[in-house]
Amino acid sequence: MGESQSWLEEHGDYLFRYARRRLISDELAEDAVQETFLAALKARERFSGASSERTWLTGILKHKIVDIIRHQYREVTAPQGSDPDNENDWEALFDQNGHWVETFRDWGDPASELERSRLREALDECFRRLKPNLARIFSLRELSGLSNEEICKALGITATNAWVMLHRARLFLRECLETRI
Amino acid sequence: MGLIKNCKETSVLVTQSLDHGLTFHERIAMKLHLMICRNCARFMKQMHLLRSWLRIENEAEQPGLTDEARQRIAGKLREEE
Repeated sequence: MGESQSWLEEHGDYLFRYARRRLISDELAEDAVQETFLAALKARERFSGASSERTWLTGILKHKIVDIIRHQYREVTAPQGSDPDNENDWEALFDQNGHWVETFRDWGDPASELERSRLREALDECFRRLKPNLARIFSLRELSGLSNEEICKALGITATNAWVMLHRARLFLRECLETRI
Repeated sequence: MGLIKNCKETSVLVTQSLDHGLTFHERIAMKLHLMICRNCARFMKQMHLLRSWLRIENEAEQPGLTDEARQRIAGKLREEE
């Protein structure tokens, strides 16, 4: 069996799950896994064996994930004159004195198995409802752990764009979760 | 720079504290407001909970590659190796 076939057998599912969590789509996650193995084939002489095979492959996968998100992000075109990624819809959450309109409740912290799986469902649902570019940047930040500078560089956006989008993403998710948990 | 912030300004400081850090003064201003505003204190707590929940990895429960995907990838790899 070729080396990459054994990688696929041993690490395929692990890499797929890793990618799926960050890319949300099965198709994109499958692409990420395929691209990772192809890149690994080209780079295998450089693999010193200092880390485990899985760690090495995951490192390549992380880059592929960012590449895919970057590519997806650029595909969105805004209608003339508007910038949907920087809308001020979040300002409607505050009155003219800058106070929250809504009173928040205590979320607690779900501990039981049942609560955790319901929480997982709520998170998945809310993440699906997030506007695509907001979800992408939020994934880079929270699921891939990229720093602000890394995000700006990857997506070609300014620090201001980044914070506005992350701010909107967080506010949206908060609102969505408030009614579901 | 004003140390008295309203909820709207504080909400920005809260999310920025999660995303790229605050200056010393921003941190003081945020904490001052959080001390006196229960709603904002809840907001801060909710943002931290959201972050910690997203870090819960339940990947083992998720499905792996479908047979179709696995075969497709295997085919592509055979071409290259």
